[in-house]
Amino acid sequence: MNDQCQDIREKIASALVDDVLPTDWQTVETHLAECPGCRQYQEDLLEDDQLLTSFVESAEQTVSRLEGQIMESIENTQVDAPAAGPRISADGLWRWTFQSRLIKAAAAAVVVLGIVFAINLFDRGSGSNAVWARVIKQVEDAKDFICRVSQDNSSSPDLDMVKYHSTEFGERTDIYRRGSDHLAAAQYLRQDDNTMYVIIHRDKSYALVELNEKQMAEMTRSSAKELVELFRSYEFEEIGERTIDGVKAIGIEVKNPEIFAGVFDKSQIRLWVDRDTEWPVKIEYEAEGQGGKVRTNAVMHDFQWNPALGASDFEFEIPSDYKMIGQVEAVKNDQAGAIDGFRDYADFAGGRYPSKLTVATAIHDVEDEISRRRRDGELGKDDMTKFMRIQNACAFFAELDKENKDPAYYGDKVGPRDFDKVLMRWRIDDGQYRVVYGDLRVEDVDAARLGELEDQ
Amino acid sequence: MELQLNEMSDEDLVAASREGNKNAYATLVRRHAKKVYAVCVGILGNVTETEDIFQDTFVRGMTQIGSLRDARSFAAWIAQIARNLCRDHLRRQHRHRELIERQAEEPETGGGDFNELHEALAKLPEKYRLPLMLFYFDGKSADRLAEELEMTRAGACTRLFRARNELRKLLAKRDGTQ
Repeated sequence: MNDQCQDIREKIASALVDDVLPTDWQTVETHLAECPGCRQYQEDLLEDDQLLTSFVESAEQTVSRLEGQIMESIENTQVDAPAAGPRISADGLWRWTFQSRLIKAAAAAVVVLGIVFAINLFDRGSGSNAVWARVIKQVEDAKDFICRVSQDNSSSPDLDMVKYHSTEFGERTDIYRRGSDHLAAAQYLRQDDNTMYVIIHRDKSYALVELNEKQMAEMTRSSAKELVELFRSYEFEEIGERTIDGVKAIGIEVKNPEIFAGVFDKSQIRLWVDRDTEWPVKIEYEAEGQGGKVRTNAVMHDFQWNPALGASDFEFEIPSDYKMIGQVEAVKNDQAGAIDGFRDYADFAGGRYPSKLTVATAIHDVEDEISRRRRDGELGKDDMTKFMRIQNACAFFAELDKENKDPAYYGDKVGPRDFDKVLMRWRIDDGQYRVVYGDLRVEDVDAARLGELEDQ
Repeated sequence: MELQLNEMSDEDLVAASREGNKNAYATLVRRHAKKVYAVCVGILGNVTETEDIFQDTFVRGMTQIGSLRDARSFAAWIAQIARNLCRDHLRRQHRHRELIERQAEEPETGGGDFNELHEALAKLPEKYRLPLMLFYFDGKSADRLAEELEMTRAGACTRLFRARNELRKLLAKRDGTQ
């Protein structure tokens, strides 16, 4: 076959497209009269074309049969109607974003607590070692799970969620307002670029939350070994047996796990494990902040372990007409990030710092201001981005506390004009403390000087 | 009523489906079934598995239709669901390589008068099989094929030309003519 044959064969194939002959078809016919190879090619091609056409006609009968089966399958399926009643507003979005951390932490705890419990039982030489060894093995092997979360909130609508978790593909949470079947919002956690998207369908809006490496690792890990290292220090109480949905379960309770530090003041988690199947069946958590003014109670239930989730379960598109209403930057869990957070928060809040350094309190303290600005059309996404930098300070404070660096915070009494008063301090070395004053100056002082400053 | 549904745009049918009108959804299924089938067989290369994924695609489309925000793009949306389900299916079974090997030894043809074609299609690389299927199931239109493949018309025709040649080689091997 030479170049001319190649050219002719392309033309022959072209003739089968749209059933239109090339304009220079005469040249093709002249060549075909002289070239047996190309004649054979044309015959084969026409034969294949007929074969494919017949195959499609045959498949159309199959398709018709399948259409009937499809309609039978969905005859009793609830059609997902557009969001009508449920509403999760931009005001609630930020609470949402941080509640999601709570949910995430609790989801992780489902895996974690079973392991920790088991390890402690091993240490005691309990007779139920074998049971917990199997629980560990099951949980270790469980890469994916689905569960439902029912969450009651003191200052926002009660929500029902369905959470899909995959160690390979990320996490998706479908969010419904209690009593509604309409998808109100969805949250997607993407491991490939360390981001979380919160999409509010009713408002046609979305927010982007950037996560740092550590946050993402904590939010997505389900490797049992890593989790055990993280939560090994938890103390728990055995809380006996209970029948849950007809299942006999044994439970444990953990109070104030550090995963909620910086988010809520107080929290407790109860884990229930099916005695027969040895899978976690329910987890209950209660958390409160701002002296009990902000409360969240939730139940995670209806677990499905290893449901074979795929990439398509975690893919999403943000429609072009959706508006971004906020972008939360990755937490900078260090001194500089904390000071940026204080500065921007005070700027937003009219010259005051959060009364307590938890995200729940920080949001609660400015809720009225957020509502007012939103009502007056003064709330831009950049404002919210700045305001939310306070999470840097919350995370930094929690980290200092975790590391026993004796941190203290006086935002309830100290404002930006208090240049000589201690806003926050922590121990940096033997006898030395780092002090952040109300005007955000930083100074290192010894314990005696710190005492004088704090007595003011 | 049936006539009216057939005359409705995808956008209107999606809206009706969301309100629970299953006849409207059935119309969407009928309207886009061939293309979805082409996508499934084009990616999977196996007519038996195609039937399962094909059905799953439309059932999933029904349950998730509330999340489709631009109702005009139903065709692209449902095709994307089919693609995702096919890829998941292949990924779950770790079948990208095994598929060719297994089918070379144990052809799973789905029966009928097209056994040889089924076997050849199963062995044809997806980059050729998918254009062929889309072309033949979707009215033999080079323009629509180009749109579907996100290529120029000329590029789509070239891909189709190569696909035909590769298919011919495979069929010829089966015939023993090569």
